[in-house]
Parts: sequence; structure tokens; C-alpha cells
Amino acid sequence: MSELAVELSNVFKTFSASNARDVNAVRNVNLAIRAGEFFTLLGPSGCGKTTTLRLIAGFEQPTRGEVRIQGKPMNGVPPYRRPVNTVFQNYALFPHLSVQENVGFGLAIKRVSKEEKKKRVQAALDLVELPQAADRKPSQLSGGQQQRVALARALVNQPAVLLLDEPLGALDLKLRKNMQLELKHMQELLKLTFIYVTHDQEEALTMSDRIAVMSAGNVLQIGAPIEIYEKPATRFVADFIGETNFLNGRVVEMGTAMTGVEVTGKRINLPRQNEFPTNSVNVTLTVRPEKVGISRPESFADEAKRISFSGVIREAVYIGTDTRYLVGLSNAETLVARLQSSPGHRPGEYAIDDPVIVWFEPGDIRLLTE
Amino acid sequence: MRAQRYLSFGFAYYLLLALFLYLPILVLVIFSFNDSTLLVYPLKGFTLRWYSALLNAHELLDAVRNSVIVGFASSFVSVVFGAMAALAIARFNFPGRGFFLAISSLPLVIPYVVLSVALVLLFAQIGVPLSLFAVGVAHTVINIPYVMLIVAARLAGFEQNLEEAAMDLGATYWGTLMRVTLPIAAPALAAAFLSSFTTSFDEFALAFFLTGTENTLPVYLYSQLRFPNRLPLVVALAAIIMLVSVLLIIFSEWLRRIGTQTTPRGAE
Amino acid sequence: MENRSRITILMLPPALWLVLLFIVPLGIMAVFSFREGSFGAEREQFTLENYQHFFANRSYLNLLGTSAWIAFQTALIAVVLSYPLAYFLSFRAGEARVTLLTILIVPAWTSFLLRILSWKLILGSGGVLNTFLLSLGVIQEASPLLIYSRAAVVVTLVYVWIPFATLPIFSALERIDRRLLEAAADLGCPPWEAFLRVTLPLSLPGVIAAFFFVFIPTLGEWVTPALVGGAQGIMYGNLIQDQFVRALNWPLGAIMSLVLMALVLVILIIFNRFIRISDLAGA
Repeated sequence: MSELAVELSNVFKTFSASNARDVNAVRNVNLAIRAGEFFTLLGPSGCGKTTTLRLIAGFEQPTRGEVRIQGKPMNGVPPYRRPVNTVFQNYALFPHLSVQENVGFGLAIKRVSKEEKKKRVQAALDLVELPQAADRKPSQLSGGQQQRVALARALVNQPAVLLLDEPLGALDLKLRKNMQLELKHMQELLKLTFIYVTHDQEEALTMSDRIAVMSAGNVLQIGAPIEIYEKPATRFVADFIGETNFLNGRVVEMGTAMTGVEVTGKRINLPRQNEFPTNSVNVTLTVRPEKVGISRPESFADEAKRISFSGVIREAVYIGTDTRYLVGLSNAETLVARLQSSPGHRPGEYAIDDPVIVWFEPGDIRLLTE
Repeated sequence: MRAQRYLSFGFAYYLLLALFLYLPILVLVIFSFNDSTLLVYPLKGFTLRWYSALLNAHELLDAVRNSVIVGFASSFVSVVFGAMAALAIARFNFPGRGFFLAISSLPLVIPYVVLSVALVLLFAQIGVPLSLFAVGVAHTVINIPYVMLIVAARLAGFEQNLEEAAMDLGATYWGTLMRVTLPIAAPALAAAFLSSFTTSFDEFALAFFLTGTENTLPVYLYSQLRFPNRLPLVVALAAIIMLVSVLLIIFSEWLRRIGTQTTPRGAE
Repeated sequence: MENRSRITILMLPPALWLVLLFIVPLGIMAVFSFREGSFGAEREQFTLENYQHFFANRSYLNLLGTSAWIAFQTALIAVVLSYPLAYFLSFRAGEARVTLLTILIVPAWTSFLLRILSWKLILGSGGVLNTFLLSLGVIQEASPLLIYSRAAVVVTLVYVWIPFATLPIFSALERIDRRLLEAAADLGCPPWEAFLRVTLPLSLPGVIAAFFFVFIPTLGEWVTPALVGGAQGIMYGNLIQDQFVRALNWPLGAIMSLVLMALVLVILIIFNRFIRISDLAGA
């Protein structure tokens, strides 16, 4: 299916603060979320991801731009007339209603018949694996159970799109991991569009079909998890998702298939990156620590395309499966390398002040201008 | 657009009720400048004579003085006892705590007529004559619970570890109380005192039963309501008292903002 | 433990003070109710006569019933008028709400008697309202509008109590998590229905508290009826007052007070979980 569940076109949201300084919570956001997709809005707190979700839910109206759900313009449409439901950050369960009354809330408003309501509520509670909790009050449930009730309450209305605002934020780590998988399975089972807000990059990578990374109200990059991780579009994205290395460089040659860059006084050739603007001179090179290799100078095999620098081990931290090395380069820049403990590399193999060669494949390097 | 409409409708309702609540005060102030012995419409002309006549109204001024004395004395006792109880209640858990809270808040909700009667019987039994003293004692019974509420709210509002820090630095418990706890609670204590004072100053139902030959102001006012020709004088005094009350309340509200919560009280 | 001595030192004086001045007097009142005689405390003989008299004479309990009815009407009207006010303050007044609330409370701190006097000036036969209506030709002759009737008592008490009924309702509304209303809207609930399904039920404890904060003191009210009630408007509290001031039948007055106290305690116990005294301490 390629039809669009939710579209945001040139959406701006400005909050006027009382001290006369307006806050631009969302700036020129364009999203096209496909039906059946698990779409995640990822970013640090204050990046505008929750505001974006609230614009879709209808709790906020855009200052400029348009929101469409299933092709229908939603500007001016109140939340209670939108075909979406939300799982709130702290669940927002009605404390005066029992679990089944909470779950049946939306159906009661739609005047669904009693038997039908009862059937659907029970089915929703079964789906979230809380079949026995119907008569309890939210205050009698654990955080994880409340989370499931909130999910059932939203799902029972069979929304076109389910909006989830950091739904796992209040759960402990282990429960969180379980719920991540469960949510993903549920979404695949129901073939429902999920729009998921989180600040947890690992959660986003685990669950999403596509991720939109946001910062300061802007969408910086939209793509599948592997794209976001392997081909970050900006320095912010590279830095926010996982750990990475940055090196300063200068473009010295632009070939048809290759870009020549000077890094730490050394000329290297990288494959031409299509999305890279050709007129930039000063660039940042980024490479993930797990793509960085370390060898002793005497045993380093200088293969043709490999990029290598000589350096000195500054720090070695053993973290179980890996050892994390900080390597100082000749021009005072540093590189982090993560080497897995394996037959080829035993922990503690390199000691502080050991001279080494660090190296990586040209394809693992990204050129960034921002 | 929609919110605006609600707002203006709600605000209109608010203004209507505010007008309803302030109208009597306004009317009294207007009549206090009216050049006529009769409190009837239409107004006769502007005068300050009721205000100047106040200076010679000895009974009235005596009543004001009595009310001030009763107010100060009973508020002082209320604040001391109320603050002690608040310190215990806010910082310790002890058997009987809940029971004490329940009993001590009862004077806030039982009809004052029952309390008046009970105290009349008590004072008759132990031989205390009906007097300003009796009135002052009665006022402590209704004020201590309020003081407790105000001070306990303030104590709950600041971190207990300030006190622990003081003790960690070598202060004794009582030293900490004097140097840390009470100074921090000072705005609440002042607000509690003002609240007690205004309650006492305006309290009529208990004072009516318990006062002897000397009147507090409300009791005096009540006795004057039957003599219409003396009313303009009363009205002039009322205007002054209301002005002072409003200033006191604004002051105590200001204190409350520094401290914590506000405290209204019963009708009479 | 040293905490124990601290608690004792802090708690003992106020506790003794309140026991002496609140519990003991109630006990004395109970003892008095069994005493004979209608003139003071002279005759210390045990008798049940007073109780027989009280319960045989239906007019006493009837007046208590009437007073309860007046208190009920007063509390109901005060709550109904206060709710929209509290709702406006909590949901629509924004950052100004505490200031606006304080403005409402201020007149309630000024002299009760003088405000009642002022209402008599406004509503009485020579009063502002009558003169105004006469001059407009709305009415032909001055009438003591509303004064000296049961209705006057209710209106006056409602006036007195509105600020205090507003407080607990306002507190209850302030405690409602605003995201619950978003959740309701999200589940398809239009604002009016969200009010009925979420806001109103969640504010109900405050409404009940407000009701009883008005109802209970009004039950024993005697000053307002004495001032504006006339013969038609007297309440049970006037009866008690009369036993102590005019009839000087203290034992009968003691019984009347005990019956009132018992009624109040029953109400407090039944509705205990709704009546949060701390609500009286405001927002």
C-alpha cells in the first residue's frame, strides 16, 4: 500500500510566550507517512516531536501549513472529530472509571450498543493481555498494566492512525524492551499506522519502519533505521544516533566518481556521495567507532583503498563484549574505536601509549557539511 | 474564537458575582458621606460630619479598643499553640496524630451556636465570669485549627533536609527550630496571625454569648442596629473598618504568596 | 526516643488547651442536659424530664427540620452559583486565577454584620433598590422587598457563603489533570460531553465538600435569621440562643445543642471521605 495515512505540508507552529518571545516549536515540517507504517519522530526533548504529534492529534492547530489525514484536510478539525487515537505519555487514564469503562470510553461516545461494546472491550483487553483486569480501577494497576490499558483504550476505536507519545517512558528497562517488541508485533498484526514519539534512539532503531530525526523544530532527516544510522545527513543526526567520530577535512578535488579530501594533513580519496553538495570546501568526516580498525604499525597491511592514520592509544576501556579505545592522531584530533572481543582481538591487547595505525574502509565514511 | 467566547461569558459571570459581593461595601461607603441622619435614598449631599463625630463616640471607640485587645491576645495565643501543633504534625508521625487532627478541625465545621453554648456552660462551671477574657479564649478555639493549617502547609512546602542540614552542622533540634524552621515559616506565622486577628475582630456569634458588660465591636454594632438614628455613625466606622480590613487582607495575601496557602474562615 | 519528648513538648499544650475548651465543654453540656430546672445551674438533680419535654414537643424537631431545609437550599444554591465561577477561574482565567479568586474572598473578610446591614439598606422599604424601582415606575409603592422572610435568610446566607463554596470546588477542579480532557477529546468526546463524563465526576468531591461547608454551619445559624428573618425566618439556632439569653432554660438549651451536634457528627462521619478540611485553606 502506498496511500498516505498522514501528511504534513510546510507546517509551522509558533507559541506566543507571555514574555513576548515567541517559540517556534515546529518549523516548516513536511512528512508523508504511509498507511501501515511504523513511523517514529525521534529527537531530544524540546525538539518539537511531541508538538508535531499534537498537531496530528488536533490538540494544537498549525500556525501555518496543512495537516491531512487519509487525504482529508484537518486544519480546524477538533481532536474529537479526527480518525486518530493517542496513547499518552503518562497514560491519562480516567481515575474515576474502571478499566473496562476506560477502554469502552470511545465506544460509549459513539453510542455503540452494549453487547457490541462489551465484546470489543474484552477483545481489546485480550489483545493487550489483560483479560482479568476489567473491573479494576487504574490506581490498582502497575505502570506496565496501565500502559496496556491506555493502549487498549486507543486501539478499541480502530483508529486510522495510532499516535504514541513516549508510551514506554515511565517503564523500567526490562519491561521497556519487552513492550517494544510487543508493540511492534501488534502493529504488524493489526497492519495499523503507528506514529511513535521517543527520545530514545535505540528504541527508534528497534521498532521503526522509518524515522524522522528532529532538532529545534526542524526535521533533519527521514529514512529507514539503517539509512539514518549508516548515512546520517547532518552532524546532529550522526551525533544523536549512536556514538560516532568526527574529523575536520577540506575538499581538495572533485572528480566524477571520487572526492579528494585532506584530513590531518593527509590526502584521501572517497567515493563520490550523490547527496553531497559539490561547492563545499570545509567538511566534516564521520565514521562509526565499530567501523574503525586498529593494528600495530609492524603488522598493518596497507591495502590499496584502506584509509589509515598513525596514532597513539590514549585510553582503553574494557566494556565486556567490546573494548573502547581512544586514539590520538598526529594533529591532536582523536578517534574512538570499538573492537569486539574475538579470536583476532583479545581485550587489553593494546595498552596506553602504544603507537598504532587506525584504519577504515572509504565506504564507511560520511561527508557532512553541517 | 471559541475560547474567546467562553472567556467573555465566564468573565461576565465573574464580574456579576464580584459586583454582588462588593455592592454592600460600596453602598456603606457611599452612605458614610451622606449628609442625613436617615439611611435612605436619595442621597442628600456630601459630608464628613459622621467621621468627625466618631471622635466623640466613646462607647463605639471603647468597643473598637476591646475588639483590638481581644483580637491581639487571642491571635497571639492561637499562633503559639497552632504553630506548636503544626510543627509536631508536619514533622512527626505519632499515635493519636490523626485523632488530634480530626478533633482539632471540628471547631471549623460545627455550628458556632453549639460551641458558644458549651463554653458558656464551661465558664459557668469553673467560675470564669462572662467577659472579654472569655471571648478571647473562645476565639482561640476557632483560630488554632486555621493557624495549624496555614503553618503546616508552609512547613510541608519546604524541604525537611534544610533542618537536617542545620542539625548536621551541629545545631540542636530546638536551635534548628529557632534558627531555621521558624524564620522560614515566618510569613506563614504572620499570615496566620492576621487571619486570626481579622476573624476575632469580626466574630459575633461567640462574642454575643460570652461577653460581659464590656462589648466587642460586633456586639456593640448588633446592639445599635435597633437605633436607626445612631446608624450613620456606625456606617462611617464601618467604612473605615472595611478599608482597613481590605488593606490587611491584601497584606496577608502578599504574605501568603511568600509563604503558602490562603485561609478563609466561617461566615460569622 | 528523643523525638518522643519533642512531640510531647510541642503537642501537649495545644492538645490540653483544645481538650479543655472543646471536649470538656461538650461533656459538661451532656451533664447539664440531665439537670433539672430552668434557671441557671443551681439545682443539681438528675432528671430525664428535659429529654421527655424535648422529644414530646414536636415543634422543636420540626424547626430543626425547617432549618435543615433552609440549610439545604442555601447550600444547593451556593454550590450551583459557585460551580460556574470556580470553573471559569480554574479553566478559563489563566494565570490571573489566584488574583481573581482573592478578589472574591476579600469582601468575605469584612464585617459580616455590616454587610447584612448594608443589604437591609439596599433591599429595605426606604432602600436603594425600592427608591430606584419607584423612580422607574416598576413598582407603585415601597415594599420591604425580601426583608423579614425565610427567602431573605436564604438569599443572605447564599451571599455570605458563595466565596467559601467556590474554594473547595476550585481546588477540586485545579487537581484535575488537564490531559484527561485531551484524552477524552482524543477518544471522540466533544467538550460538553467531556465536561459531563470527566470534569464533573472528578470535581464531585469538591462539590460535596462545598455543600457541607455551607450546610453544616448554616444548620446552627441564628444571627442571620435574627437580622433579616423576621418571625417567619427563625431557625433552630434561634431556639438555642433563646434558651440561654431569654428563657434561661440551660438544660433544654443543652439538649438542643447536643441534638444539633449529634446530627452534625452523623453527617461528618457519613461524608467523611469527601470533606477535606484542608480545602478550606484554599488553592
